[in-house]
Amino acid sequence: VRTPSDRIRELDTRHRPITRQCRRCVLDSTVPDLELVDGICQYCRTWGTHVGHTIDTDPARLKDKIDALKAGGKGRQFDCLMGLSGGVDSSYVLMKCVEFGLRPLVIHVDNGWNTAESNHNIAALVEQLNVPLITKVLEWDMFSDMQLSMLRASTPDGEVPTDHAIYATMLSEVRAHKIGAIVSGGNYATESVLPADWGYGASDWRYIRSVHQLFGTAPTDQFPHYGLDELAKARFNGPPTVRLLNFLDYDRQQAIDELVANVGWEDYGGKHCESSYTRFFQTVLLPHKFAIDKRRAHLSSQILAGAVTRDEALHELEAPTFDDRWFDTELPFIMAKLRITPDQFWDIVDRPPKSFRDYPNQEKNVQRIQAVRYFPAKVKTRLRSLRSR
Amino acid sequence: VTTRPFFRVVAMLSVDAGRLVRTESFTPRQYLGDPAIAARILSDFECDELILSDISASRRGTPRSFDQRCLAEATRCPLTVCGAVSTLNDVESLVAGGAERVGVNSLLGNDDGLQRFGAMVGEFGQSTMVASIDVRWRDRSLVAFTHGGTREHSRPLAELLSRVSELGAGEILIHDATRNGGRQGFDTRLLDALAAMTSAPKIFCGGARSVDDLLAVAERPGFSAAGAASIFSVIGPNDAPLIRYAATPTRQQRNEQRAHSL
Repeated sequence: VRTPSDRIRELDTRHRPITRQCRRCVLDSTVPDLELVDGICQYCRTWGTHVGHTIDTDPARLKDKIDALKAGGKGRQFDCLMGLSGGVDSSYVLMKCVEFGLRPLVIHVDNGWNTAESNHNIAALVEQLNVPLITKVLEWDMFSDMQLSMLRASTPDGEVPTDHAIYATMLSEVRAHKIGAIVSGGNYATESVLPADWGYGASDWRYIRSVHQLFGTAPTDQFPHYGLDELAKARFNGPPTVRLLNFLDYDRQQAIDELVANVGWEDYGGKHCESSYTRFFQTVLLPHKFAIDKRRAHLSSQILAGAVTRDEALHELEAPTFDDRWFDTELPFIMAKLRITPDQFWDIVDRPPKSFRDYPNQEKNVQRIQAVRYFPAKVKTRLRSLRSR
Repeated sequence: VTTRPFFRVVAMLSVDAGRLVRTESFTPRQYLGDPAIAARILSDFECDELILSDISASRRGTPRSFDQRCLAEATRCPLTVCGAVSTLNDVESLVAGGAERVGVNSLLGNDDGLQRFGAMVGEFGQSTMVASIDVRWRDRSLVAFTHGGTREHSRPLAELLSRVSELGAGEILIHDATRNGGRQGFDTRLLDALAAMTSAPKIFCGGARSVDDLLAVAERPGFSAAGAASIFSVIGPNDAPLIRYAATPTRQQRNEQRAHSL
């Protein structure tokens, strides 16, 4: 009997065989633009040279960052804005910020897929640390239509509407409360490697809107969004994003232990599984329909940061991305929640993968903004690395 | 934790045109999201029971503005559904759609409706039918309301309570319409008065400030459950929406056990 999980795993044959693999990390030819030089991929070769993407655990650097945030918050109600999903990274960076004496405003964007675990963790942090929280609840009828249209577009960007709405919400909160900086849980220790072709569009409203115009029906005027002009304004004149975990010796397991002991946090295993949609998207659809196993990127980051060995990572990758029980425990709920029939679900699964380039987008302009914005820092980093050589 | 182990702590959900809302005095005040995900989250918190009221149903004349299939998929704990239930067919479709029990409010407003409620009990049994009554103080006496607290009942409250018990209501859900959504604590005078009026099993809600308020009701005779909405759906001084089954004994105990084992 062909089970639903067989049907999902059969998709893998589209992407076989795996022909090339990096010798240092665990990226392989499922990364379309993998360039091996002496068996080493470009992500390993350029590791540590990206702008703002370095791990610097010198306590003086951390103190500088904290002091700057405090100075920036002087005379204001808050020192920084922090997003909180209830996952490890955002939870830990919030706990640390409070420990360092910062006064954050915490924002949670509820996209309709929260879990008991995420909400327990958010409540535990907010109550134990006594920090102010605001929640932006996205209108479910509107947001589910956005999400479903992205699934129907058949691109690997099913999380893009959420990511876009989060940043749009943060920008408007920063404005509303006159906050000088955003502190994020983004970190080089677990997220330094992210293949460029594995996802696009979080900053591209034209792409999101055009996909929705093609595949959606609900009005989108309530969807928090920002266009190119606001992106440019935010990049050049907006609040800086401080990735504080890059200045700590960030170890995920140790962070979990601390959170459990200090605030009664709960561990539920699996990166980014604080949402049942994310679990579906990252453990079922991405790895099998698109051959994008995000674990490869996370493990490669950890290999380069020295947290795991390549052998350990390869061993971990042998485990299936999802548990077969998922089809009984979660899938019926996910289909009911998205208001789709099993046929419509399998249609989404079986549609041939596409790219954002198949839809109207403004990639060139988004890239231009990034390139101009980070050019001076890029030169500085380049000079520093030349000097140290 | 309590000497009455079967006392239930109920999470109350109000749905307005398919949207989960927080209400104050039965008026929608705040959007909380999709009712189904709230039901799923509360189920996963091992909530004792969910009572979902479709507050827009009687106003719009269409029952069940929410997606019943989705709610049924989401819910893994006992579910009671209320809102513009007026016929045997309504009850049947709700039960077929996954509700354990059905609550009736507007129908209790007149004698004909009370008869029909009796017929529902005859058809679906006491254990399925809940009578829902809204109450308010007027001077020093209690007045019964129906239609989501908007229509005053012609009978005195005590008489209505004994009437619905005679008709075989499994439980009577009593809503303090004045304190709904206010979080100033339960009206203990009202609890005393209700206990004196009828010994029938009652669910009380309206005004809970903490889980302790709910558990304190367990100490009183005649109350089988207490419910709350706001303390399970918003958090902090900004009333930030966040669905959870806050600090219920089971979760608290689990956390204590964990603290000991560390």
